[in-house]
Amino acid sequence: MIVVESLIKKFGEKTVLNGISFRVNNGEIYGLLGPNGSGKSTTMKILVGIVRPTSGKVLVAGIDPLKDPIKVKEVVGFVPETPILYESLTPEEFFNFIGSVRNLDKENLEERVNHLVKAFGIEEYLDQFIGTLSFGTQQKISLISALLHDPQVLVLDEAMNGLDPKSAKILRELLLEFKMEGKSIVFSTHVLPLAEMICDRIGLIYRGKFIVEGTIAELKEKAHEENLEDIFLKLTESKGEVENILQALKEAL
Amino acid sequence: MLRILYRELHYLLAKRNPLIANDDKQFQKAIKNAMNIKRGIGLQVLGFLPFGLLMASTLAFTDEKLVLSSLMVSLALIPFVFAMYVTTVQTSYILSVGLFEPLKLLPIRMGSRYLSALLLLEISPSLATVLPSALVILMKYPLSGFLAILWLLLGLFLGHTLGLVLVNFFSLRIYQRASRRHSLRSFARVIMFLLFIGMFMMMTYLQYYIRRHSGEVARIVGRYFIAYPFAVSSIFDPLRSIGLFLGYSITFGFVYYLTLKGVWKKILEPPVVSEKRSVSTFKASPKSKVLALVSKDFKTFLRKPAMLVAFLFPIYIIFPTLISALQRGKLGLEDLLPVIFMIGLFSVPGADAVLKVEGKNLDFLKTLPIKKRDFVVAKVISMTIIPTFLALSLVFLGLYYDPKTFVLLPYALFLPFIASSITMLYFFRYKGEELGIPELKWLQIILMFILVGIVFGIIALPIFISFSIIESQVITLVVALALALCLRRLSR
Repeated sequence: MIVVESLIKKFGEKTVLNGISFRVNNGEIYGLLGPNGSGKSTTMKILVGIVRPTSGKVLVAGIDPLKDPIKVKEVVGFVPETPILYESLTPEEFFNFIGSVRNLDKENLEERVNHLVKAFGIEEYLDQFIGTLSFGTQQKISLISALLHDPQVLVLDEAMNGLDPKSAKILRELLLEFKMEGKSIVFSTHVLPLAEMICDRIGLIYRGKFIVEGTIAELKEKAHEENLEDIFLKLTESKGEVENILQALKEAL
Repeated sequence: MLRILYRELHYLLAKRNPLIANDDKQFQKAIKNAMNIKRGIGLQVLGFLPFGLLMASTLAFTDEKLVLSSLMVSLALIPFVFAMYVTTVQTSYILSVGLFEPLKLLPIRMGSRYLSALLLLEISPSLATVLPSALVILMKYPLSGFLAILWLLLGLFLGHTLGLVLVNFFSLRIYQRASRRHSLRSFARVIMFLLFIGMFMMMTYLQYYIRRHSGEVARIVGRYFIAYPFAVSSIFDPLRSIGLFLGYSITFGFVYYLTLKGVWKKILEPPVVSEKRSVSTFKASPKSKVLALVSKDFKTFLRKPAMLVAFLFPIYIIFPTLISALQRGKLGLEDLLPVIFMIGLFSVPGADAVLKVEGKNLDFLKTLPIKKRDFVVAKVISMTIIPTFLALSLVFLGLYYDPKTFVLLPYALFLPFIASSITMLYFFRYKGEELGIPELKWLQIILMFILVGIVFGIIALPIFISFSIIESQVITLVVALALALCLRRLSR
């Protein structure tokens, strides 16, 4: 379970998160949506203990990331929006490094890596330097490394970025499987139909504040719109703006 | 453009420094200082200047041309070595943090000139250590002083150019697959390069002799004026000096231009070397956290040879001793003792390489359950391995000539560890578990040299006072043990 209460994060004078609160239950996929720069990635980095909040309360699987960041990192699997990997290592060396740092035993590590590597179709790249691989393959490596230790909580920031349709489908199914196992999953994406498809609840964050939260049905009712894209544009006050911009572009170009 | 790159580089360095990044006020203040080119360089110059004045004072009391030119030969090595070191290490770091990625998309013909200018900006404050000496000569012999200044600037340019050549040949190639053969090849290339540069480094040996028999050695120096830095001894023979200066400038100017072209071409599109595929299933070989971190560091070093070169710098210290042993057929306790202390002391700059090897991956490391203690211990080990290996090699070489050198074994084993531990404990003295890369400025490295020097002085004291190696070794063990305990307590 994840509990976030009155979370504030300031970078210098700029307030990036302005008192957001939400809760993700066990066995739930929570969609964190919002326009670019709304504060989604910062929220996720605070959850995994790599950014310190200015104030507020955060509990991840009952652990406060501020008080015990190491413990939080032991139970969380995190996929950042851009894969950050050791480019001069091979995936094989990289998974061994992750397995060692996470104290996984040899058999468990070997079994999990081989299953995941096969599922995402990257067997042929195991001995190539990560720096030479495509963005999509690097994203798969980042995903596999986040799943190696069977985390209780998954924090996925744009995890579908760069994945081919087959891998995206596999990841989707895996997330639903993890949900059935009782894991808490926080998921951010700009692919709104995907969020509609897999998220149990959605929090819409805009300029560092939650503007709406609930199930898809609740959001539709609140916004009087039929799909998540229209709900998103309406609530972020972008619908009219998009039409105006398009009109101006048509005239200019 | 240069201002933007300088600001971005120093912003990234400040952001990765946990000593300031977690304190908003301090962070804002630090980036305000670090991102201002004039202020940043001015502060560094001020830091280097006391050493420059100290060195200049040794030249102030003599008017003898032979002594002055001989001392300039030794001083001319400082900007050369500094420029080469900073160019190799900093280029790898700059490219690994992606500073030049946005430029790749722009229609820029030779973006590497900005890289070079950025590096020269970083290197230029080191001139404050040698320019005061040249100014002393300028006041006594204006034309020779002017030539000395030109030679010092040229030394900086030569070091920078050789650093770029190194980066061009070793650092910008992408090997698609990992193989033992590839690692060995990288290592062999580095050793070849070090041996080549070692020919220049041997000349530092002169400083020792110059102090003792300046006249005699200065005459020898005069005979070999063509090789840099010996060529600097020609400052009192203006025509010859100008000729040599122009020769070097034209040759290396050409090399510099060609290398810059090559570097930019490789930054834009790094050559990929592909080898036959060999792996299809994953084989697990988990290690302890610390060993996994050390093994990762060394794999990266072997695959980024420019960084390995910086890491192997202590090798330079053993060159003169090795050559002396080969020449004299003798290698005694008194020869090896100071060299092993020097190897220990020169573990300090290794901190720069072992921390910069993380580059942008620090953000990834932060997502893993790694305690600060494990990270720091791993970095201490990474810093210690090569100097310890070199020191042990010297002790075993010494055994061939004189079995008594065996008593130096504890120094070879523990002095690099002591120097590395003091350095890392200083840089990671902040509270909390967060991993970070402290910003390593040269002044801090010099401070570490002084601090480690003081500890080594205490260790060596019984030898100076009562020729008691045993007492000195007991102190070594106690200090090593105390530091090991400090490292152990780092995460409590």
